[in-house]
Amino acid sequence: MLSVLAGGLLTTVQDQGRSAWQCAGVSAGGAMDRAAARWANRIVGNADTAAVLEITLRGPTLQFTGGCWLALAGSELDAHLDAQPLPVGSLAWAPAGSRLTLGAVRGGCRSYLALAGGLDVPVVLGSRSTALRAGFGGWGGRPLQKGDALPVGVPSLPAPRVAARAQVSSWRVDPAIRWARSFAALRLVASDELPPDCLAALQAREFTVSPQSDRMGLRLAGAALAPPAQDLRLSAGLAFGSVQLPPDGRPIILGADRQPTGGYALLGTVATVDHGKLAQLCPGARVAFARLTLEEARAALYREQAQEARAQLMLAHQHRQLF
Amino acid sequence: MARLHALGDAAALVALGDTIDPATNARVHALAARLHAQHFPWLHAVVPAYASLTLHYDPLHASWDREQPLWPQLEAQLAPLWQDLPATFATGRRIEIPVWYGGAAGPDLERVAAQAGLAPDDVVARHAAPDYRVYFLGFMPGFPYLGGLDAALATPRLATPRAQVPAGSVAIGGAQTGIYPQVAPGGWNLIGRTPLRLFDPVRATPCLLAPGDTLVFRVIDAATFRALEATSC
Repeated sequence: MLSVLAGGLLTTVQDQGRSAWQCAGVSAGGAMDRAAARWANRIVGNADTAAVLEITLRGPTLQFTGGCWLALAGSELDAHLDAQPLPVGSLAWAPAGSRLTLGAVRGGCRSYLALAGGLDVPVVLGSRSTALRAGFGGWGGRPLQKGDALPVGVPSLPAPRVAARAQVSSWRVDPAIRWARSFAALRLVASDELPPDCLAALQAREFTVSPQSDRMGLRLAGAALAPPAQDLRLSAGLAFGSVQLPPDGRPIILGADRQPTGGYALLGTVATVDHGKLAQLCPGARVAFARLTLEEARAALYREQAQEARAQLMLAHQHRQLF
Repeated sequence: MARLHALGDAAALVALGDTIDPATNARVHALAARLHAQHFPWLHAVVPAYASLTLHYDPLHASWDREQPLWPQLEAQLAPLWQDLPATFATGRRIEIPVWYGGAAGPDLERVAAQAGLAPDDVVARHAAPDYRVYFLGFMPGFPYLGGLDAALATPRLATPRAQVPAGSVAIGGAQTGIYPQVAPGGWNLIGRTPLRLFDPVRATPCLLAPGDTLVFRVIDAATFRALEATSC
């Protein structure tokens, strides 16, 4: 059991989402930084799809009723397991009764906490992720609050020989750190319906992430773009990272809790390799766009996959050393 | 016949037309059914809309030859499926939606009537007359995009959207009509409310409506609404 002593700013249960339900109008949902959620899971020996906590800007304070392996990934944050500092990307053993205090998220916007066995909340529409707007999934369809007690599943890693004291590994695995704090150049596969002058204007400008941004989308402030003279797009599907241009000329980059379909003009969609960067943008961060082709985006994704495979080997080695 | 557009590197939009009409939409759902029957391991989700389908796929799946461009590979898989799509629905249910029009349930009925130059009762009669086609579900869980609204009832959206529209509200926004499945902010004109639950994530069939269904509105009074509301789950 995981007891919540303080909920933090916006702490939700997330996994890899419920993409298949988009045809019913349900948001795909899931972790904003999927790669970070995946790595937190891998470090504690979970499947990539296990449920984790997504921590936004300021973390919760948690207590473990039973001993538990845990790991943090994503943005750096102030984290202490009892009195010991807990760096992102390390594997830690939290003995029964120990306390995890998560403070300010410092590098980007979001960090992820995985517990061995995963958070065992009910699966709703194929996923354990929290659908905040619709109010279902995760823990009661809402962010964590003081007094909540979440069940933890059966871990695949055995308990350590000395289970009574907190331990933090000296090694770290976190290939997900590939973003900057205050500025991101997002690479975008341009929409082929887009007039060339509109794209040139997008690439020539720099925007600021507005405070009205959330898991549904990042609103960009800055000089307005001229919307396409005639917008004939019928409501149609959208993806994570799709950049919409509403009539006010201020782009919106769609996030995990986006609506599955929409009718605003579409500038393009941020390439998957830059989704982590996108997920870690805080209000006030500056954003610029660069264009790349579908094939370039694909090549970058294969390169990233090769890096992940190397990190995976290192992790497998560390797991073997442990037992 | 079909055009493929990139939506980033993990989704593609298959456009079967650029108009809102029953025949194009029937082809969209016929293609969706064929795609589901294929069980492509690289395909995560199929999202039908008026005249297109969006395919969310795994760009790193072992099905793809990484040395070759993706687009021709994707097209080779899809092209046989988008041939000879039937332009009429094979199936589709007829679903009756009871609606309490006007009063507390439809605060904008008078506004719609004034806009159309009709009496409120005529608005209700014209709204409840047609067979509506469910084109697709989107915008929010279980929300139906409907075709068939009497053009005389088209009414501009509110200048200032409401912060909270009650669940079950039947509304007109521009030339479209729809039903809010859950409490949400919204700028459509509210003309009535249904006691039916359009979406319940823990129900065996979460969505009351499915694309291809025919929807008809049936006029009920406030007392019937309350009685149905008490028994609906």
